[in-house]
Order: sequence, then C-alpha cells, then structure tokens
Amino acid sequence: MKKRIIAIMKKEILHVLRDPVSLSIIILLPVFLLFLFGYAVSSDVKHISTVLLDLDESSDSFHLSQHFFQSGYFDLVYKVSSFEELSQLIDSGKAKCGLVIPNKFSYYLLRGEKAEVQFLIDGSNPTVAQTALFSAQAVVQDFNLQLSVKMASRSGNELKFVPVDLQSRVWYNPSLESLNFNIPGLVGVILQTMSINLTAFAIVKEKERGTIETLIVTPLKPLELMLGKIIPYIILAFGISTLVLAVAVFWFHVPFNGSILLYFLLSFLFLFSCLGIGLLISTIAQNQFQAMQISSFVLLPALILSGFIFPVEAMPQVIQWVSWLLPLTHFLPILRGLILKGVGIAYLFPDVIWLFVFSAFMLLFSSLRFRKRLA
Amino acid sequence: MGIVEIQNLTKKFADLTAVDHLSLSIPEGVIFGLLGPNGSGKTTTIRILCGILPPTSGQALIMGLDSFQQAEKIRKLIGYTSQYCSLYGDLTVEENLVFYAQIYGMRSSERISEILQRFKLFQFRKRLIRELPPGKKQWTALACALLHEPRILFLDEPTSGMDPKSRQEFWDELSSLKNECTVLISTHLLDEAERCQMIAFMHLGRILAVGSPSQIKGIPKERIFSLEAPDPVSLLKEIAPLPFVQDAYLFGNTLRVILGEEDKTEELRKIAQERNASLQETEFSLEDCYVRLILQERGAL
Repeated sequence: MKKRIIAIMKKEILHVLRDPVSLSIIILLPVFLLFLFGYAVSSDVKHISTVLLDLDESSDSFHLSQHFFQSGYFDLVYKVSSFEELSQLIDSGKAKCGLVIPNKFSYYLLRGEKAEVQFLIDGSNPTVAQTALFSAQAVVQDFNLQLSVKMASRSGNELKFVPVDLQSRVWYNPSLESLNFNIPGLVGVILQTMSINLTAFAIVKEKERGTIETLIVTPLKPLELMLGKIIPYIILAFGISTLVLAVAVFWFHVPFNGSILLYFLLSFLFLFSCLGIGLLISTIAQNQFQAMQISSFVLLPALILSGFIFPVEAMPQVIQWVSWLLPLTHFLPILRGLILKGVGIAYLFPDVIWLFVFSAFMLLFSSLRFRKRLA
Repeated sequence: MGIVEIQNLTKKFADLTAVDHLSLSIPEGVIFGLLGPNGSGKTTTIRILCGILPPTSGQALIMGLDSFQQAEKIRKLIGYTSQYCSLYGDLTVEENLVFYAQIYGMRSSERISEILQRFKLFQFRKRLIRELPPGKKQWTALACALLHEPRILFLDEPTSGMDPKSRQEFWDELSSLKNECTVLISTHLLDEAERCQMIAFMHLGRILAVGSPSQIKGIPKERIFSLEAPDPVSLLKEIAPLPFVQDAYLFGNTLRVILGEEDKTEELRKIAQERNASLQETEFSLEDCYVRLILQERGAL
C-alpha cells in the first residue's frame, strides 16, 4: 500500500516539475497577492495632501504646522497667504485638507487663552475625510499636551495645568494598520485557494487524460490514489502559506504573537476541510474548466463572506448563516487570534471544533463519493 | 469453459442500451477480435470486462471471477489499454513504465529494460510521451499493459491512428503474444479481423456472428461475383433493380453482386459482356459478410 502511494506521489511531483509555468504561478501568485495587499490595497490613509495658511507666522504657529506635517498623515503641498487661494486648491482637488492658523494664535496662547485653529477637509471621499479628521484631532491633542507640559514645567506647578487628556488606545494593532489585519487573512485565503484547486485539478486531470480508467484496472485502491495525489499538494500548499507568512513577518513586519506550533496544527486542520471540498469537486467535474467553475463557486463567496474583507457581523442574518458554513470564516478568527493577539487554543475552541467537524464530515463524504465514482 | 465467459450481459445508459443481452465465450490462448462500427458496444463490453463499469444485468466471468463483484482479484490478471492513449504525456516512456511497475508492486528494472528492448522502445525511453509519434505511443501503452505479465490483455482500438506499417508490426507482435496470454482486441477495421483466430461481429450491442474468420465467411449460402467495369456506377444502377440480384454494391472500383439461390449466373454474364465488364465468381469477404449480417438483422433480407 505504501509503495503504491509513493509511486503516485513521485508521479505527481514529476507532473509539477514538468510544468514550470504552472509551478511558477503557484509560487509567485501568492507572493504577488501579498505585495498587492501590502502596498496597494492598504486602507490606511496617510500622506494626505494639505495646504497651509499661516496668518500668524510665529514660532508657535510654526511648531503646530511642523507637528502636522511630521506626523506622516499630512503632506504639506502648498503654502498660501490668503483664504481664497486655500479654498481654490481644495476646490480643484489639488489638496484634500487645509490648515488655517489665525493671526492671533501665539497671542492667545501666551495669554493662556483658547487659541483656535481651523481645519478644512474635502469630504468627497469619506474614508479619507474621516481619517484626516481623526488624525488632525490626534495631532492637535498631542500638540496641546506637549504645550501644557511645557507651560506646567515653566510655572513649576505640574498638575494644575495639565489639560484633560483623552486616553484612547487601540489594542492589538496600535498603529491601526490594515496590513496587520489583512495579511493573516490573506494567508488563509491562499491556503484555501491552493489546496482546493490543486486537489480538484490533480484528480480531474487524470479523468481528462483518460488515465483514470487505466488506473482503475490496476491493483491501485481508491484510497491509495487519493492519498498519493493529495499529499504532495498538501505539502506544496503548506510550504507556500509558510512562505507568505514569512514574507509577512520579515518583510512587512506583521507581528507574530502566538504559538507557531499551534499555527501549523490548526492550518493543517483547515487544510483538511479544503481537501474535502477539492475532492468533492473532483468527483463532480469532468474537466479542469468545470473544476475551476465549481471551485469559484466556493472561493468567491468565501472571499466576500468570510470576513476577509468585510466584517461578518455587519452582514444580514441570512448571509451570516451562509458565511458561517464556510471553513474560512472559522479559520480567519483563528489566524488573526494567533498572529495578532497571540491567544491560546482555549479562545479559539468553538472555531476549531467547527473546523474539525466540517473536515471530518467533508472528507468522509467526498472520499465515499470518490470511491463510488471510481469503482 | 472459456477464460472469459459472458452471460446475458446488458448495459444501459439512461435510455440507451449499449450492450444488449450479450453472451460470449472466449477460449484461452486466442486472439479474439471484437468487430463493429463506432457505437456498436465494443468499448462498453471491454470496460465491463475490465471491471470499470458494472453491468446492468447478466454477468461476465474472467477466469471464473465476476468482473465487477470480484474486480480486485482480477486486477493483477488483466492488462488494459483504453481507446485514448492513456499514458502520461508529460512523463517519459521509462517513467510511465516505472510508474506502472510500482503500482503492480514489481521491483525488477530488468523486466522494464526487457520490455523496452522487445518493443524497440529503448532509444525512446528518455522521450516524453507527448513528443512520440502515435505508433510509438501505442507501443508504450502495450508495454505498460504487458509489464506485469497478465493472463488476459484487453486492447480497445489500439491501432486507430497508426500508419499501415506500424499496424502491420503491431499485429505481428500480437501474434507472437498468443503463447503468453489471451488477447481481446476491438477494432473497426475488417482487414485486421483476418489476423484474429476468432472474431465476433457486434452491432447495436448485440453479437451477429462468432467464429473463426473462415467460419464466418462460410455463413452465406448465396454466390458472390466481382465485376470490373469501365463505368461501375452506371452498371450498378442497371444491375441493382434486377429481380434475381439480391444485393449489389461498389467495393473500391469493383462491383460486387450477390445472386439468390437460383442459378442466374448466365444472365449476369450476358450483362457483363454487353458492358465490357469482366465477371468473376469470388468468395465472401468479412466485409461482405458483415454487410449481409447487418441487413439480415434489420430484416431487409
């Protein structure tokens, strides 16, 4: 039995090696996706083009504008001397924000009175506007804090002058970088896509070539054929997901806080659920084109409904039930929990149980079907 | 009892009956040809015998074992090449052979080089299957099927796509196999049937006749003549409607005319002379027999 499985495995490896185009796509596509997500699809808004109107031209106003433009959120693109020029630049879209420092800014500050600063935001893109608003508030708050500390230390009486400071802190992803949120999800998506497609294709190819018939006539048993075909692709899918994770951690500096061992163990569990789906597809499809169509039937909803892009909680109840059925929906919280929060298995238990049940059921069902189709 | 015994075998796909109450006995050590046009049920029959398909009713016994219920016991006893050259195109000749050897649990690489030599594949062993000429592909498929020394070899239309020379060589090789194993081969080429020890004519899932080629040729009781004429087509139009002519058809450039049991040879000779055609009494070929059997089956005769 072992020898026959190894014979199939060897043959599969030869197939993979003889097809360098597919092999390079298999390896490069996930890495390409990773860089795409890492650089292009970042939903963080930084470097917002900003125009400055400084009517005060004092050292205090200079400090405030410096605070703005060194924060990384705002880029100084124009410095103007009238309000008309500023509004023109925002109207024409050359700048998204405008910072107006009135002429008595330092005067009020010195007198210990409230100094007002005007901040104008182009609201046509709400995402940018919202981020700009929050960032501006944060920058000003930070500025206030430093200023009051300075004033307090000057007067020697600290406590009285420290203004109320809103302690807002973000957990797990302190810089709120979407990259940290997206990449663990991407690892799951890649693992899913590769394992489902590779298993389905590997078996369907055998049908397409007509070689499956010849194999049926040999003493090879369905289980041996199944294992021999699946094992090389499990290893391949696993290797590539590890590669993606490594790039994420070492290139994009996504923090990995959990246990690596647990990560591999649970990825393995997830792989089995995907293999079950891939196997099922292979029993339905007659050729690779059909296999691809059927697999997109699973992969596309998973991409949208699993919480990879949109939060499941925000979906209508009926859609939530559908997304609950998808293994990826259960694997993503595991991945994010492990990578970002570093939680242990106790916190992941419901999802792990679900994956376990799903994999067991799916593998049993599809291997029985596979057997029946072959025999 | 034959090495293959088929009893009342029927296979239905939805509303199509591919094999229709077929019974057949194949004795050990012969080359048995299954003849018939495409769609006559040859492939389905072979697939049932190999245990790929379950029969709808009836059964097939391979060396006394049920082809489907006991398929696992039969696997090692049979070799099979399917209609489509079922090898891995992206693997070399040798890799294909090694793969099948491992599947059959064989270790010896001697057997592989022996079979490579025998089928003149040795210099091709490092070539990818998809780069081989079609003839060599079939040789490799045959080599893979024979690797484990099966008792029965099932070949489904192995010579389709081969050039005449390769076909000749292929049949020479098959003839030399008869001491090693029983061969069941399907073909739609009647000239190949002449090289089988036994043949069965199939039509619409049924067997029309079984026997050696000479037995089959002896079935018709009528007399057949061959006419060579300058204008065979117009001669055919003239002869076919005559009451004593049972059947007339073109065969290449000659006209074949079948007369009924009454002796009307003289009438035919007269017409031939008028038309400058040379008339010769001849023997039924397998092709003639097949045409007649089908016509009989349809109730036209």
